[in-house]
Amino acid sequence: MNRSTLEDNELRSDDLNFQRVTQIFARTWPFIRPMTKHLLVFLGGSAVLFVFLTAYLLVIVGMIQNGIITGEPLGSIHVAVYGLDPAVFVNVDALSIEARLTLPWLVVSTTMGVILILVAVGTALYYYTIWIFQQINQHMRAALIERLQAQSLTFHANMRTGDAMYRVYQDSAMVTQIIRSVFLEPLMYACRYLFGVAVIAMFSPWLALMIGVTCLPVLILGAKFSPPLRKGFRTARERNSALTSWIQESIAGIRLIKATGNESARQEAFETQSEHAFAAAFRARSRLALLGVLAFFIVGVVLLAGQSLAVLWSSASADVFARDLLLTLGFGIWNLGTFETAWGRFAESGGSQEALIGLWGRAQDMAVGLGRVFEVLDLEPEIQDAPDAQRMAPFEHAVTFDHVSFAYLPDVPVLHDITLTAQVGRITALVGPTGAGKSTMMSLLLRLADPTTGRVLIDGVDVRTLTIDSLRKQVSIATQENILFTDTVRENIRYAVPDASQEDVEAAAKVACAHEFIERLPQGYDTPLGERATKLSSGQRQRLVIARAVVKNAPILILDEPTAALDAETEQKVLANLKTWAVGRCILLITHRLSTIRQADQVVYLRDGRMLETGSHDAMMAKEGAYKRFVALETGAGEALTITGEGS
Amino acid sequence: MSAGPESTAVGTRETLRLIRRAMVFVWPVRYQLAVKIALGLIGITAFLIMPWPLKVLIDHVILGMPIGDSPTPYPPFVVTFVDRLAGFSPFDIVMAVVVFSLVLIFLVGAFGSSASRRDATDADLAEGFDTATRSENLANVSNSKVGGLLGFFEYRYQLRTTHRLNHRIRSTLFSRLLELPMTHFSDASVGDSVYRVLYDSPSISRICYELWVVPILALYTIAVVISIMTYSYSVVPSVVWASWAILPAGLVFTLFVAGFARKRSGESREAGAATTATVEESMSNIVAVQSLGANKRAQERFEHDSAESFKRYRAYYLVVIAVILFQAMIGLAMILVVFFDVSEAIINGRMSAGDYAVLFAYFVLLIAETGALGTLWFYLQDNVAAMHRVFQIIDSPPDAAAHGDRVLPGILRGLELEKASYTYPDGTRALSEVSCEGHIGEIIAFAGSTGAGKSTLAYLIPGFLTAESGRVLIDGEDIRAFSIASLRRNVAFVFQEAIVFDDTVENNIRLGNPDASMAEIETAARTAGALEFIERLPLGFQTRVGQAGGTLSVGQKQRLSIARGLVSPARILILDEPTASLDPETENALVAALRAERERRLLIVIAHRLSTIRTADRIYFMDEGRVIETGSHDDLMQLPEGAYRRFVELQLGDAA
Repeated sequence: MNRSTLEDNELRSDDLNFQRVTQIFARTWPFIRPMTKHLLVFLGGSAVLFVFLTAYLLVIVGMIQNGIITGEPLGSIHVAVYGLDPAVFVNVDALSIEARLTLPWLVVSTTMGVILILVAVGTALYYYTIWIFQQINQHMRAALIERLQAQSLTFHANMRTGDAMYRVYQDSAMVTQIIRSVFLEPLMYACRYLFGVAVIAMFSPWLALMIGVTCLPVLILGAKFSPPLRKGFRTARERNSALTSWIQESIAGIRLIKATGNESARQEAFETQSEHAFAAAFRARSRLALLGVLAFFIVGVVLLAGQSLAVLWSSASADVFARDLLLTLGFGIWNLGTFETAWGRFAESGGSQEALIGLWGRAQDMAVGLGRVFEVLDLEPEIQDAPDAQRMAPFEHAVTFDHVSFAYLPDVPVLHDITLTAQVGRITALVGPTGAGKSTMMSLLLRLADPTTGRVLIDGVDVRTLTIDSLRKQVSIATQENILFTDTVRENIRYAVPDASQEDVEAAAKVACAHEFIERLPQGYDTPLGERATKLSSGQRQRLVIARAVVKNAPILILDEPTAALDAETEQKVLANLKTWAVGRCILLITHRLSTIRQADQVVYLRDGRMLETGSHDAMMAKEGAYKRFVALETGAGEALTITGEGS
Repeated sequence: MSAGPESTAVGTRETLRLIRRAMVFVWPVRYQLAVKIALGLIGITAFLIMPWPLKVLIDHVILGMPIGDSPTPYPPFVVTFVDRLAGFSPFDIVMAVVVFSLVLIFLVGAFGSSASRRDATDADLAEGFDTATRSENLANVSNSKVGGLLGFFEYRYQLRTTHRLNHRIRSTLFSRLLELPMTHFSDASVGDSVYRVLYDSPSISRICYELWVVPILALYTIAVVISIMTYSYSVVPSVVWASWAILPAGLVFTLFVAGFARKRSGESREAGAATTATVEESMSNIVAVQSLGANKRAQERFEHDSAESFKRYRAYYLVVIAVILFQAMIGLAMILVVFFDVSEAIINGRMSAGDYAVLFAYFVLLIAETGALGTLWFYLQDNVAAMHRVFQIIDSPPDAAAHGDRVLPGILRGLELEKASYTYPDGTRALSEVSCEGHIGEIIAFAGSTGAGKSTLAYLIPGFLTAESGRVLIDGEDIRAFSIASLRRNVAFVFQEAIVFDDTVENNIRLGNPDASMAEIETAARTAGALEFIERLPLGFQTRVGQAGGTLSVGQKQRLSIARGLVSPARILILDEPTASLDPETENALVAALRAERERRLLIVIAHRLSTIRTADRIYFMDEGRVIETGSHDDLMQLPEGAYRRFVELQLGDAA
């Protein structure tokens, strides 16, 4: 499972079913849980508002419809709330004009008061929910990034950066709607629906039955639409993710596109992918729109039938079903007030069903998005701390490779039976042609990968028994690719040790011979750099990367082709500085350069993943071996032999 | 360019200009827009009839009022239908209304009067709470105020229009990004570009619809509602004047907060772009992050940026909430005022109970539409902030701007630089009056310490940078006369830091020459010392190299890049530190191969390595942006105090 990449999933069609969708939603709970307290406050507030609003409507609708508009007697509840005189407002055949004229004032003042509270509390609650949902989203994004960063390089070799961006951003955002669209709103609509059915049943069981059974065809519709919706949403997300990758890769490789005049091909492919993404969105969204339209056909016909029946009963002033009960609200027989009230609930029940099916449709997209999030979260990093991993003790003696072999792909061995010890206080140089496995050895030491067989030991302890964190704290590396981040020069240097002081940063820059040119930059250490800071020459970038390794102040230092981009003079200075700085540390040096190799106490010559020779430079030069031939080539065939061997 | 404080400052005049420019993108879909507006008008018309059947039911069925006794007149477009109901029994009236409503349900998905009984068509999906995650719905804006068959058709029609609109602007933006000078990308993050193309550009749809569809439909609705109010309900004058008063009241406030909204929206977008950049970088540079043990740092950085972008969005949203609140308050106040007068009119018999339902249905509609008009300017601001970021890119001069459009057919003689100078945008002087020349058949080398300006000099040749003074001549003609595309066809460039795309090995090499035969590709790979490892890959040339080269080593990637340069038919080939990551054997083989085919081209190498430099016919030795020595290796070694000589000696270790 570790080796499998996320792309495998694109081949799957809809493999979600109702159960899986529910599982996905349930799995978001750990991200929501930290916000439970806030959610409860929000839920409590919302419930109070809901009850408040419903109570208000019950009171006010009767007053408007019966009292003001048709002049019929009010119910006992109105008398109780407003302290009205029952002799004038209840125990009469019809309200007098004067009595009716007093009512609008009551309605308006009540409404004003209620609305002010509703709006104030409602707004505050709404803003509060934005904050809550953002926090939940933040948890999930952070977890995603953490998991992605912990993945091995093999994984990253197969994961497109744009896909990671899409998952972290767009897919994870779906978690913010879980509470509202999957829990709160369905609950609210379900309550409304059931409440509506119950209320209507008091007016007429027939109407209640009608609206009650409507949910069956609506449910069937929803079930029929779900799989194609999920498939559509999945395709839409995958295509958008591919488009994101395409943009990211194009901009990251812009120089190559320019140099090869590849713009139009790149552009064409972008447009095709953009069209594909839109086509997928079109299909998925119009299917969702169709679901809404069809659901309304079903609900609309039922609502129309119910309305017609209620109108006819009102016209005939028929008795309502639970007459005695409803009389307290003023609804003894079917009349306008009764009609409005019953019809209001009836329509709301129908509307709730529609809303539920709409939510269900949208929930499919959320499930698909969150599914993509969990695909990443479920990937166990290939390299992780052993259960009983120890913190690494302060480094003292040596780094040892003990019969180490390694292969990225089963049939392509990269390292073969490497045995080597690098002592503290010494510089060990790894030399050999490209692809000999030098950088891979360093990856094994840093546990960016684990050996296929053999062990990497630090002070005699297998690195796999150490916590990755403590291991990498004691190893510092200047990478071969001069990677910078979008930030200032200072932050780039102290990237691995954010709390390094300005003095530390400057001292490191001086070791790397970077201080001088940094000072000459327009804003010195505060100069902002781009990710591919092209205004720095590659030699300058390389020196920043060396400074970054130095500032970490770790006892083991790896320099991977530290001087490839440096001219000889700068190289000599940097190496001299490093040599002074590195007293008491263990230095591993990967290089082709003879001038750099000469600084080493021990040279290891590798080729095709095997160690061919090892020893000091002079000792190996004394033999007619592979190393000597290598040196001859390095200094320029033929005349080289006369120059070498003399130096340092 | 990405985050300067100036980029958020957009004045009202600039806003209007941006909107006008956005219209250029809207123009191609003008017919579709007209159809959308027509569909919208039809839908609304159906919807505007909707309250009347309910009045018929309430007044003439429930309350049993004879038809013709209504205290208020039915508007002309309803009265003919209502008059035909005269003398019908309540049951017959209900049946007539049922038939009418059934037709409406299927055609426009609506009947009755208020919102809960009416369908609207939209398919907005769940979205998050920051600007980027809300852009997805924006790129898919479509809705119909009605449902049923008409609503569904309108939805699909508009969605297609939205997609065309968005596709066009993001394609334009992307193509412009590809054309920008390389200096643009030195300080802009990749994430910023992604953000602009994907999350800023969809704002075009809101601008389009807010500007054309919303006001037309709103004005139509308002006009119809006000005429109906005036015709049927002149008995209650406050209804009419309140209808008129809502719009200006709503406008005043939103005008006041518009600038505020614009600024906050811009900030929210910038914070979002920064977060995008952080994600992008930590994924692209995962090797550095992991090997430096900086996971925690990268994590904290991301969390900080992400939290910041959420915070900025909340700050923007506060303004939105304030506007919504204000609008709601005005609407509510109007309803309460009218409620008094309407109640009195009903009690006094000047209006019927059915009128009450009709009147409030219309009044709610009126408030909604005037609200939409009133907030139109306000909601445009968020999108203007986005358009500003889009046009920042579209307006940046492309590197082709300095060039003419003549086609450079081929290079016969060679290249010459005349006193070329270049200063980076931040003021760093990189080249001062550099002159040099090279002819087909030669190998020339740029040498010198790091930061001497060698790469910058090389960048002038294919027009990656344009000299601010002096000239670059090919066959005696200024390269600015030639189109960028034809110039770069004739100048192949191999970068110091190898770049590979997520594609097959073959296609990565083929980028250098799309017409190359397989044999040519293999030859180039062999010369670059890449054939051996390629053949060991699981699928050989068809192996897909992952993101940024995946498991290929740096040296292997560089060989692919060199093969790409070699396969190119261009007569000028520039190799920027081609051998930095190569071992001596490979390098020697490469140099030998390059020498062997030198008659075909002018080869320019930038190198530190002596073994590469010494093969050159002429060496330009540079320091601090100037050429200080010129000549062959042997010539320069003759100069006793020469800078080059010292450079060589250092490298050979004699001076160490």
